[in-house]
Amino acid sequence: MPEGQVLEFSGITKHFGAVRAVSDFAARVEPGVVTGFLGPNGAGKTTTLRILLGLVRATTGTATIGGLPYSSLRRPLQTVGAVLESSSFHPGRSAANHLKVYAQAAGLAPARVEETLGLVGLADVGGRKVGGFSLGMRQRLGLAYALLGDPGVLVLDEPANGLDPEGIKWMRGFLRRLAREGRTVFVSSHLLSEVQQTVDSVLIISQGRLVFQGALEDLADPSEFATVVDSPDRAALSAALTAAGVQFELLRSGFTVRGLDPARVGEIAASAGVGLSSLARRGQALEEVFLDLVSGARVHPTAAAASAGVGAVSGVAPLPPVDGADAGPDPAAHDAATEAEASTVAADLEAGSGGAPGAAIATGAAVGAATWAATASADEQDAPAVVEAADSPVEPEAEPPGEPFVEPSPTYAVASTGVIDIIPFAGDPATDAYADGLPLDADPDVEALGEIDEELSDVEDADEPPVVDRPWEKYVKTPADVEADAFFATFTAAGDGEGAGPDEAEAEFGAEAGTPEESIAESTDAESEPSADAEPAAPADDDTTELGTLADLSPDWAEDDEARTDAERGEQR
Amino acid sequence: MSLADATRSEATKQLTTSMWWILAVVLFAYVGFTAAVLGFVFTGAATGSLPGDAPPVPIEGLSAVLYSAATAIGYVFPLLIGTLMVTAEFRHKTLTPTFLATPKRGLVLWAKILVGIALGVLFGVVGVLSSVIPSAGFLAANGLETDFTSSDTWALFGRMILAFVLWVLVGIGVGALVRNQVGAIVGVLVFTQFLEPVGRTAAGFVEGLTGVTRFLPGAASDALVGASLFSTAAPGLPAEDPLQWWVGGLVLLGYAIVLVLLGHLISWRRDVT
Repeated sequence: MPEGQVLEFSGITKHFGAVRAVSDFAARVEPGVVTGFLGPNGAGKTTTLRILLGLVRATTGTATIGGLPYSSLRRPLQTVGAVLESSSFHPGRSAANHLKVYAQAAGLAPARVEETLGLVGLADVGGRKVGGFSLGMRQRLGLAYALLGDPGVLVLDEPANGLDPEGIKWMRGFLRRLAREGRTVFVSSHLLSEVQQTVDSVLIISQGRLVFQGALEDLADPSEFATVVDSPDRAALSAALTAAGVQFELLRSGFTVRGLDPARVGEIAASAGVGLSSLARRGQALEEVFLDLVSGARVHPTAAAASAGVGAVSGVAPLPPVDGADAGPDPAAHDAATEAEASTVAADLEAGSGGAPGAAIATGAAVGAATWAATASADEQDAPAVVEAADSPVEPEAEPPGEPFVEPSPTYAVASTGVIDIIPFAGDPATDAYADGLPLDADPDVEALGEIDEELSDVEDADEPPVVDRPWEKYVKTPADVEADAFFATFTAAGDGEGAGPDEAEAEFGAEAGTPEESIAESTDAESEPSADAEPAAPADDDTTELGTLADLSPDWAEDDEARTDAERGEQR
Repeated sequence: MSLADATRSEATKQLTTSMWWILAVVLFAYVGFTAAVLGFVFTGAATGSLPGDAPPVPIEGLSAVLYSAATAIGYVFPLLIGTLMVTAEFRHKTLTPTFLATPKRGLVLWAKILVGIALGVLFGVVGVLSSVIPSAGFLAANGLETDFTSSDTWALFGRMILAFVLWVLVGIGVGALVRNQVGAIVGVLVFTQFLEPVGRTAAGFVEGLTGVTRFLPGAASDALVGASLFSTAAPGLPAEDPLQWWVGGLVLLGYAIVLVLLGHLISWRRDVT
């Protein structure tokens, strides 16, 4: 079995002309785990990988594999396998011959060609010319190339691009298996959601700088969490919570209580004799943390430490933080301003999409977000209480923006927030306005998203009068629509997160990133346990019925690996 | 990862696409057709069997002139195959897997040179056959000497094959330097089919310029082969005073070395993105 090697980057800087693609990048990738390499498009991921592989010369700094630069490896293909782009093939050469060329270059046995073709499921098409291959087949052939020498290190640049859901599932399982065998697996992606079921640890790069290095579990701050609780009798629950002196917010799926664990909330409800329909703990949304790190709104100590560790001159200089006060790892940042901003941008979004009824799913979601944001504001002005308070239709356009606000990538926040939860803000400045409303696991499950969207559209449990001039909100997606959305949403570009306007694509991205499938599933799971202690489970109301449906709708390709990571994350939460 | 491995890989690379045999077939057809036409006209003119007052062609050395049509007009084919050997890697981005498998880039270039030499020999043999078969046919049909018994003829064939090999190497240098496949092909065609022939012909009218143009690659190639249609085609003009055959060979080799070196230094070592 080939040995995994440590990949080490120290002080890598790369200029392309005047452009600084990578700045003083220092990191270490360990064998035996899958390491994700995340960052928006254009962040320098591919350049960094190419430097590691000796294809691009670093301006300064070194990258080594097991202590050696790539060009000094004695048997490179037997040491490192790499998949860098999906189109590195001569279209007129057959798949088997393609591999044969490189097997010969590496001095490998000819039998290895058939073996690797079998490994990636291309055994039947080895004789066909690559020019006739689909993108997914090319990706598999690229992987076959990487595996030719049975290397201990695998470096993959956006391997999921072009793969169908089945292919992605296969890829995840495959990478995990390779890592379990003790190999080093280093996978880049611009979508956290794409790799978070697979990776054990992550490097996050933004604008050529390392902004986070560590385990996925360390990405979110475990102290940032909230308890989501709901009851068929919301008025009673609200009264109970108020009586207990607990700050809470009401949102669609229930009451959100910050910083109080489910046991305590359940206790309060039990002592007041209120039946609960759900009780769950929600951690900080990884996607949100990721986007904050990428935009510079949040700085993680690991990045600073890594830079300092190699005697870096520049260290990690964050972008101007969102509101100047939250450069710490644990920002109490998302205050009223954030919320106001979210509403504003959501309103913008709505304004932008208002002219295109029946547009993308994300548009609908964004509109919903705007509506919620409006409701939120209304609540802020009224008493922060029950849902009945927000009984007047509020036009988002009419909403005053909180305060002047500059954020590098506001749409992410909005879109994510919009789709999942916007929380009527109770005026506690220390609380996080949106991050905890997001699910921890943002799986691109757009079937669930479609449900949510429908849910958004049917404003039956909101108290706004039905809005008749938005026909698209009533649009019921056919299964084919949902499937198509799922497919495209997976590959929607994340944008590079700088100054992009709130367009539909980004809204869609955010929507996809923030799909609450898993957290909802967890909510329903959690519901039975703790609330069994507190109270017999109440008959399901509308919300829980929906939740149940959503959980049922979890894709059948949610595999055991995902389940595993979920479990871990659940513990951590 | 050794030169032998890299060379084997490079050979497989060339032989697993259709480019080499397509070019060989076209070379054979093109040179064969031209040689047949020339053979018909020249042998006819030499024996006076052509109607009208065609300029008399000396019978002496006619076989060599006809045989060398392969290099005189066919040298663009080895030049192209050499160019394509390199630019295809840029075009299809296969440099990435190639350099991953063989990170020592000089080794890859050496492998290409070795395979290029082999391809040059192959193309040379095809070229010689394509010009000799129809030419010898017409020579024999007109009762002229085919000179197959002369060792000079076989030395001519050897020099033709050598010229093909050198042209492949020049092509590798051009390909490494230019990188862009379309640009390289267009450049090669424009230079070999237009610029150089026109320049060499035009230089005939200017005093002293032939001393320079005979160092052009096509002229050097003709000098290496030692007999050329080109000098025969315009009998009225003051022809170039060709270089010695071995000087011509060295000049052509010089072009190959300089281009390959420049390609290696300027382009081959660049970042592969």
